[in-house]
Amino acid sequence: MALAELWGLFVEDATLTIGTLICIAFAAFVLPRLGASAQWRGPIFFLSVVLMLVENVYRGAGRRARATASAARAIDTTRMPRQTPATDTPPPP
Amino acid sequence: MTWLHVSTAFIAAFLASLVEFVEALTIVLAVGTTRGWRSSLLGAGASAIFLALLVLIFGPALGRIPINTLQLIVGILLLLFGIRWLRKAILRAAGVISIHDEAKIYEEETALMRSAGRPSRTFDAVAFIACFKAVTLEGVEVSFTVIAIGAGGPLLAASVGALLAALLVILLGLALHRPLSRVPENTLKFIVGIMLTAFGIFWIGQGLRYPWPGEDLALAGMIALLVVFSGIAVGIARARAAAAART
Repeated sequence: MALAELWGLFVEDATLTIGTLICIAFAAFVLPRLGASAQWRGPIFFLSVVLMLVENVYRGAGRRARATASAARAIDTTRMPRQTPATDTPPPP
Repeated sequence: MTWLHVSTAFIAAFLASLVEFVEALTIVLAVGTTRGWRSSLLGAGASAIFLALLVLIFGPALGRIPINTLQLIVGILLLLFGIRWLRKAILRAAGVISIHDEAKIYEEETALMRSAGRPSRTFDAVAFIACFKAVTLEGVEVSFTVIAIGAGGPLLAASVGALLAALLVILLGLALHRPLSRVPENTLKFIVGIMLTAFGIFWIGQGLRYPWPGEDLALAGMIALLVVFSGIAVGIARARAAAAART
């Protein structure tokens, strides 16, 4: 349990962790092979991390909003039978 | 190492430690007020000794690792740690996930402690373990942050920052006897997330021996750019959440 909590300090969203590690691997192994000048490698690495973060936030926001909306709809559905159904027939005199 | 690097390390360590100590204080206060102070403070104290031993055992070992390797390893861990904070802070600022609320956590912890039965008069294991666990978890984060930020040299500045944060929180806790819910924790977490992410990227670059334009000034530049990009990300997340909720 303690190890799981320690792991949780660094890994919370798997896609964010994988994305970050891909950015690091890109900076360490791909950039030198592409012939990028040493002075540009740091700034390119920085930009790749920022872009990955923005993309992750975009996807995460959509996912969470959909989950919240569907949970709210599910609550509404369970409450529906308790409400008085609307009918076209007028109430008896 | 310039004054800019040292002061950035001090501020980052101070703010990150402040957030962690505030969280630890909330739990210790909740446990102490419901189950008694003796066992709660014993748990917190035992955790502080345990953490000091950990630093004493593993601290000198870090000095034997070549500086570039250390910067790379610590940079990777710091980036994973910091970007997690930053992502959460962006989603919180966009209203996608709920804001961190110390008062609510205090209430929940108090209710949990009350449900754990009547405390023993001599030694309350529940209080001891709860405080030991809370202080250890937050303390490990503080120790890691200080070591990671100070890995390239400004270890003293980072340690002083963390110690000042600890003193401040302990003094405020003693004076107020209630959770520090007025501390703008979510804003602090946003700032700390940005600083830790910038430090992580900076150390990884140093570890890979990539020269940063402007050397230490690059750190300040990255922090400024991350503020701008995070602001944009908050807007994007807000718009995306609104669009997804409509579909």
